[in-house]
Amino acid sequence: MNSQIAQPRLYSSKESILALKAHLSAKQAKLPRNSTIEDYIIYIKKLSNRLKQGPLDFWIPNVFRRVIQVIRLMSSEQGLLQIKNKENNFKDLAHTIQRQSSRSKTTVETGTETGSNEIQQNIILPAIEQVLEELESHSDDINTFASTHFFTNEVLLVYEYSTTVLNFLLSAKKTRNFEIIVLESETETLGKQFATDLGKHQLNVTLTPFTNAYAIMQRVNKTLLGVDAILKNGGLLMHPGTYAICVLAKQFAVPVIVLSGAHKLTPKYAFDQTTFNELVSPLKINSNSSVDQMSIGITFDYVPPEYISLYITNQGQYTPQSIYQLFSDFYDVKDEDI
Amino acid sequence: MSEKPNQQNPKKGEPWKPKEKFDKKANKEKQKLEQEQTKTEAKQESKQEESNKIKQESNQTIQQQNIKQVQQQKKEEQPIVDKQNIVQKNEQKEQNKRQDFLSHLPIFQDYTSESIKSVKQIDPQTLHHSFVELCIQYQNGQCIGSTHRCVEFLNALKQFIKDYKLSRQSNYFAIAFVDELKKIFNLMKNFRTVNEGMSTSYLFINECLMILRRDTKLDENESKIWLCNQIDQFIQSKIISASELIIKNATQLIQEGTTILVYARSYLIENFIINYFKQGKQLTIFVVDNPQFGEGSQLVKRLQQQGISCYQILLSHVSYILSKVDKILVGASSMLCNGALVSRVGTALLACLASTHKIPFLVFCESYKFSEKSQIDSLSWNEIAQLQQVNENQQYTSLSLRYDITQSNYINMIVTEVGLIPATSVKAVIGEFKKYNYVDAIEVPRKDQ
Repeated sequence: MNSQIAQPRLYSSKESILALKAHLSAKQAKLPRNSTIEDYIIYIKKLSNRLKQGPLDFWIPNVFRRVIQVIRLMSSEQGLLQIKNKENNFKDLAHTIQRQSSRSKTTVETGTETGSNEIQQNIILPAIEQVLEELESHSDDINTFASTHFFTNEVLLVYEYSTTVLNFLLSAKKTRNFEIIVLESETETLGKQFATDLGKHQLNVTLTPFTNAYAIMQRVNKTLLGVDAILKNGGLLMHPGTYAICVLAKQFAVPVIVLSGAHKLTPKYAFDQTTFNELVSPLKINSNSSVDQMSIGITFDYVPPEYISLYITNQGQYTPQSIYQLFSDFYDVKDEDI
Repeated sequence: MSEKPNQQNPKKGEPWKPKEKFDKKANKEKQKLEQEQTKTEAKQESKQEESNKIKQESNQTIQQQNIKQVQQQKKEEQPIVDKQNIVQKNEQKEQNKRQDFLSHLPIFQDYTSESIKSVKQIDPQTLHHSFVELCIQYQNGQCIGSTHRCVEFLNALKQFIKDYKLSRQSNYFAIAFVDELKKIFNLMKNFRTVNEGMSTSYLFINECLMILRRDTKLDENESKIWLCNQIDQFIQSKIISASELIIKNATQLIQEGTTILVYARSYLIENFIINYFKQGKQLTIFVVDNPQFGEGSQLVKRLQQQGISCYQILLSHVSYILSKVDKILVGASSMLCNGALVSRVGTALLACLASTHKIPFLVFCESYKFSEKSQIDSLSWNEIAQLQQVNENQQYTSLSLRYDITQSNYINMIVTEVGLIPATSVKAVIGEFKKYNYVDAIEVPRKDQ
């Protein structure tokens, strides 16, 4: 239960993909007997749209998008899928040629005649497995960068709860010592949980309310943030208050480092706070609020790319200006309609 | 005198649990005192042994000298014991201090009406009940906000002056009261940091006492009445009429239909909004709340009582509405000489956001809150708010500040009773006021004869 609260995004991604796996392997899928890869892809897209919880649920579509992309890559490796738009897909092409040349010629190339069962066994299920593995191991991959970013006795600022940031700090702790300041969100008490979890590992942790951000920012050397969604323009969506922290960090010339698994990459564009947002119940903000009190509360803060110094993902480190490259590797442009 | 607040506490209908807590605290303090006593007793015994030895030696000499010596020794003993006490108290204070980067900031203990008497500076017999009440109000947050605190302090002082009786040794009220005032001012430093308004009023009263001393024709009663009148006049001219002038200035400044954003609770801004709506003009108001102190919700409730509707929003959610806001108005705890603003924690964050969004940031401040200090960052001076009980198992330190410093480059204008001025001209205004003893020239009292 605890992990479910702490990492809701990862949890929902993982759960949805496990559901997909169970669904396909239990042969509940309503597919024609001799369905092709394309049929599978269309079917998975449909499933994704059905599972998606509202327009602000980015994580289930993201992971399904990734599954489809892996299916595409795998099938093109095995020569099952004909690449139609060669010019659009230089990378895929290069990939395929490379792999095909290294592959022994004895590979079975039965083309479209392959039965749906075989496709499922050879491509779909392995693809799902691979994505699952990516999700499982994303934290370890990010942690490999941990030792390269801090110096001894540095003061780091973190906000809200993020398992990725927690793991990152713990792996950095192995080689050097530093001080952590945890900013507590005004609406949720996960900051306390975060401070406790960090404190258990003999880290020097200070918990402070959000309002104190300006006062303590002058002491901070680097800001570490988790993220809800990385957008294609290099901006991000995160818990409300992140924008203010990033603005402060820029004022004090403190670098903002964003840690995230690549499954948070969301191929969408935002331009202001209102593009992707949702008002929350006033009771969530002020439990004593009466009916005639007009409270405004939001779900996300959008942070423009100019406030972010670096993204560290399990696929490598990117600046906001270059993160679109990761998008084109990670997803196919065709799937952005999910 | 001292029992009054004790009787009052249960009358206010305090719940059972806090009382128990107070009892526990009192018990703890009793235990500490007992420990101290036993320690000092032990030391006294050892001292006595020494003195006995000396006695034995001195027995060999003349007895008359002996008696004198013992008397001298006894006189010497007591100050030594006192010093030891002081050292122990210092040690206790050090234990209360933080271990991290804020170890320079004082931590204020929670006092009950009983334990206040154990504070070093006070003589329990002379402590006036109005200050005991005031100190407790300061601590439990009943008396919050710089203007409120200053006015309450002056009212308590007036009460004290009325009840003050000259001791037989001193003849002049003005001379005796200067020391008394100093003691009280030092006492106030134990409960919350003394704010700028309070220290200005302290300087003013000192000035009044100086005048009284020069003009010694007034007798005790007359000088008391004169001093109380002066305090009333201070409140009237520097706080009440000043706020009226500021409201007048601001009403001319802010056009009808603007969207304003206010932070926490400032009496000036509250009165300004109420006054503005009474004139039949409309404003769209966003009230930014901080859950720690809950001042925003207090303001919203107060405005709703007056039939004014406003939106409430948290500081972290403010990014959503910033683009719709025309002006940001905040109150001040004090304005510093370098143009920096000392205000409720979070104001600086708001000012920083306002400057990135190019929203005018206005500070409402009476000129008696102007200070000759200057400060650059929020950590070198501040006050730690102890709002949560710390668990012993807690593996992290929690930190909650009361104030923060907003740099002058974030402030577009200060609205004062002397006009609309830029943040950097605080020093000039202070210079002007210093010529007139911080208020308008004080009228020297003449005895009608």
